[in-house]
Amino acid sequence: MITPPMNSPTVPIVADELHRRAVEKFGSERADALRPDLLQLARELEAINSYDIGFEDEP
Amino acid sequence: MNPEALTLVEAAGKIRDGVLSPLDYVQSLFARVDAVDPRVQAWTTIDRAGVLAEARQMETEARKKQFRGALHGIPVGVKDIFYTKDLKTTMGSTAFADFVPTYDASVVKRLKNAGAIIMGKCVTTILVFLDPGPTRNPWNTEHTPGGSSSGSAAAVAARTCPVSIGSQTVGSVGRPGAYNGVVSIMPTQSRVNMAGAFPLAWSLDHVGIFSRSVGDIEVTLECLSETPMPSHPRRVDNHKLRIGIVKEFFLDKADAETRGKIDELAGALMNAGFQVAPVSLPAIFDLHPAILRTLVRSEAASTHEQLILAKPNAYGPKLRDLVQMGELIDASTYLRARRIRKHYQRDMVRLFDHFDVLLTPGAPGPAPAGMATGDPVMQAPWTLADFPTMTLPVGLASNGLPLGIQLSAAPLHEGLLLETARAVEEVIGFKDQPRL
Repeated sequence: MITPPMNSPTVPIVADELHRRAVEKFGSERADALRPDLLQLARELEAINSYDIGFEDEP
Repeated sequence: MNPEALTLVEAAGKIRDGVLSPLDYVQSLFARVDAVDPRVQAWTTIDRAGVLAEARQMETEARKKQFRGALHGIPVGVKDIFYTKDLKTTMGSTAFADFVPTYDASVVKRLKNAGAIIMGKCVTTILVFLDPGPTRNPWNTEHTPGGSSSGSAAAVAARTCPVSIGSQTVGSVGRPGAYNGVVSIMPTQSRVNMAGAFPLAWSLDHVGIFSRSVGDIEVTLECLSETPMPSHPRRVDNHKLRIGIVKEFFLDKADAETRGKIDELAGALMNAGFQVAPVSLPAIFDLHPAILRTLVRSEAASTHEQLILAKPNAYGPKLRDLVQMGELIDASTYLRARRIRKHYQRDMVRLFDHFDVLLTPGAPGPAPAGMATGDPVMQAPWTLADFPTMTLPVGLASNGLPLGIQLSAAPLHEGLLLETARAVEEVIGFKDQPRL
């Protein structure tokens, strides 16, 4: 069973990094408005990045 | 004869037999548009003079028994993201309000080659995402028709055309199909060419078809298919068909009435001789929302990064959020998501070791009230897997709106899917239509 690390301790760190990038790209007001979405994005990116994919399946 | 009530197969047969004039047919549909479209708002552009001229030409040819193809004289609605030569194509956005393509999209070319008359353009949501257009659900205009192929589904349900073309990136064909009580198909991506259509996320964008019978879908798909449809028996033996009911996840997301309809249908299918059994999903299924959203966000950001800067006011809030989130995803994560998608497809296709077709609800319930386009949760797993998927109306909810079921088959097994759908359609026997 794959359990995506939706509540992994690294999620808030990733979310903060995404917020920093959002401030750079869109300004702090817009980045703050996106905060709930950024947390969800962080959860999903962590799920993607923690999946063990190996090297034998290169597209 | 009431031409707007005819299915595509019925109308095509009458045109070949000289009983129905293509000109009378389009005039009848124009009258229907005039009567109902002010309430439904499924159409955005109809070039009536051009359509009438084309219908006259089709009629002349039909009188001489010259038929261009299976769709000779059949009026078709086309989602307003597919390029149509010399006919406005707006993508549902002010950014393209006056855009007139100089060439036809691949599907439009194929439709014309088969003798279809492009009746007009059907409303899409803004730039093919979740921000709604003006279209209303013909069964109850206080409810959404779904999206993004809002107009294409509603136009068929409202009897203003027998068949229409839509597109699906996540759930934009199956969901409106279910909400509007029509039959729909999203074929395997490679089956029908998306060239000449405005993209949302190119690795997931699929062409779709709406009509009012499985037979109509089959005829249209055969005209659009890039490769011959695999041979399949014209009349399947129900006893040999294995239908898997996917209860986990899908039935959990469905309302009580929809779950009841699925249980009722499962019993009816078993009585009709189908082999029906529950399906267990592979572990990787849990990752599908993360994979799908990473791909959609990243590719939508790539599609829109320049346009959104040039014309920010042309964007709805949901698409703006999507694009901006996509701009924050790095390339390695996007590529990793593409690679995991291959694992997902590999594990999901094994479901067909034990089943021919999978059955799920077409939507969590009937079309919700209001204009938000509803939840694509029933389509997303199959779009990501690139499994050809159909929806069929299964009955009406207690509020009078249609409920839909969904059938999925292995990639490029549209022939088997269509034959199964035809048999299931007979078991269901859905005859209701909206009262406009």
